[in-house]
Amino acid sequence: MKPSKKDIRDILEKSLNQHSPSILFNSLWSGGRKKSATKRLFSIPVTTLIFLFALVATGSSAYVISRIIDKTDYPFIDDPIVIGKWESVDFVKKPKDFIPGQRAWKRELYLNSLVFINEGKMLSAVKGVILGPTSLSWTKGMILSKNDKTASSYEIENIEGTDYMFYEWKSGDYSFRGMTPKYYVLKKVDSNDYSGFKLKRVIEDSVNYTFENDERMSGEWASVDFVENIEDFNPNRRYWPGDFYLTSMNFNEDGDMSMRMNGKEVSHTLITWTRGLVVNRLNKTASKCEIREIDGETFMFYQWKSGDYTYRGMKPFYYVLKKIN
Amino acid sequence: MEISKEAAEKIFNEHSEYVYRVALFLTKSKVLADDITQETMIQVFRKYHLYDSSRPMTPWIYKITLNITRNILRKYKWLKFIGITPESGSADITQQTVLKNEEERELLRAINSLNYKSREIIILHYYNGMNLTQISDILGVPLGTCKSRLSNALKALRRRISEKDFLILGKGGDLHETL
Repeated sequence: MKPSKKDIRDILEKSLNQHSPSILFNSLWSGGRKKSATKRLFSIPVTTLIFLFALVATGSSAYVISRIIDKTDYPFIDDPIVIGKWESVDFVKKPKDFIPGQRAWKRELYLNSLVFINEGKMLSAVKGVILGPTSLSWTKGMILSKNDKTASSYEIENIEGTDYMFYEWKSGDYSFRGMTPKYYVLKKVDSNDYSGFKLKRVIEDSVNYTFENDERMSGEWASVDFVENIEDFNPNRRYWPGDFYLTSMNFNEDGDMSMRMNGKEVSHTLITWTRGLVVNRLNKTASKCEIREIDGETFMFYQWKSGDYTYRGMKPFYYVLKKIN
Repeated sequence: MEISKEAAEKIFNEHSEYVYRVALFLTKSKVLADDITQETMIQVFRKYHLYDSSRPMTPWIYKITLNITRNILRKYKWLKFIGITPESGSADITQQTVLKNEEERELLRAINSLNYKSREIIILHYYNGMNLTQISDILGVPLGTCKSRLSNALKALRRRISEKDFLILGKGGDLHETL
């Protein structure tokens, strides 16, 4: 391809013409403007500002991501009424705002359903992702996320003969911006026991690759970030606020490799690499490894194909790694 | 003179999509692109009485769009600096676009990786079809600066894509055609 004016125009048209704004003229004209993301972000609590000011005043130049951390190590207390499947019907500011049959939230709901299983286990389904295991757990009156470090309340109310659950939704708006949580309203669908639930695989990559050496890939690499899209990576600003599950990768010159995950060294004869790919014949995944030069430094973007990808069809994130040896 | 609802609706229908796409390309965020489109349209309706109807409306709207985009990105930079994670909704248009081949994908990646000023001129020139005189008016910079920005943007693209793929731009013929 020899890019010309037409090539650039065509490629911009292809990539941009499929996107449209979500705002509507009538809502804008009638004064129903959305609160902008920047204004939403500016509504952080005064305590956060004081904390940041104190950091500056004490001369700290450390990069800080302030967040709220809830207590999540509650003992399990049974709540038989919650067992079974619940499906989202609305998303409201406060539970009292919910009116059955009159949806307050006009846009698509992110959370589709929750399943409560005995002994605190749960399944969940969100927009574009089928029902499957989740890191959430429950105890009477609370849904706990050890990953997000949140404890959300749930309350069950019978309205006109139907059981509804009001689930406090603690997203990043709560954890990182200190905003008051809203509530998902879920309707009880069944009281079945889902403890035998088995997920069906939805994606299986081709793993039929032979080894081709790539000197740029071979060696030891350490994780420096975890990003949704490659373009999100900025060497001067970390994208992923949490810990890394994958901390390093080691590519040997014969195609063997090892990874350090969750503090443990993992290697297997069925997990190998070749130019531009990590081929996992155990999980039947082929993950892209793309090497890019950014600001004079070499980074590798490794497609993270976990069970969320193979079983739930989610788009993989990327680990960003830097060569250390 | 205040704008009528009919006129406002016509402007909205004609321009909001392009405004959104320019904002999306520059910010790489669907959330910010929505915010920018909303603010731009509100400013256009409010300042309609200041619009010189003897001149084309599109450059006037883009001027407002780019000012709002810069202001919003400045605010975001500050928020990120103090450690507040921006709202999700980042849009990797490279990943989301169905392209014919890897070369097209590479070209789109290269365009996306350009710096802000280069992307600004690339989108206005190649996507919105504006000539450099119009762009110089929109950006409020001399024509010569626009020419050198476009030339630098194309040079940067050339560096990012392998030499053999860039013969036409390398010869500069394309640049002259567009002036």
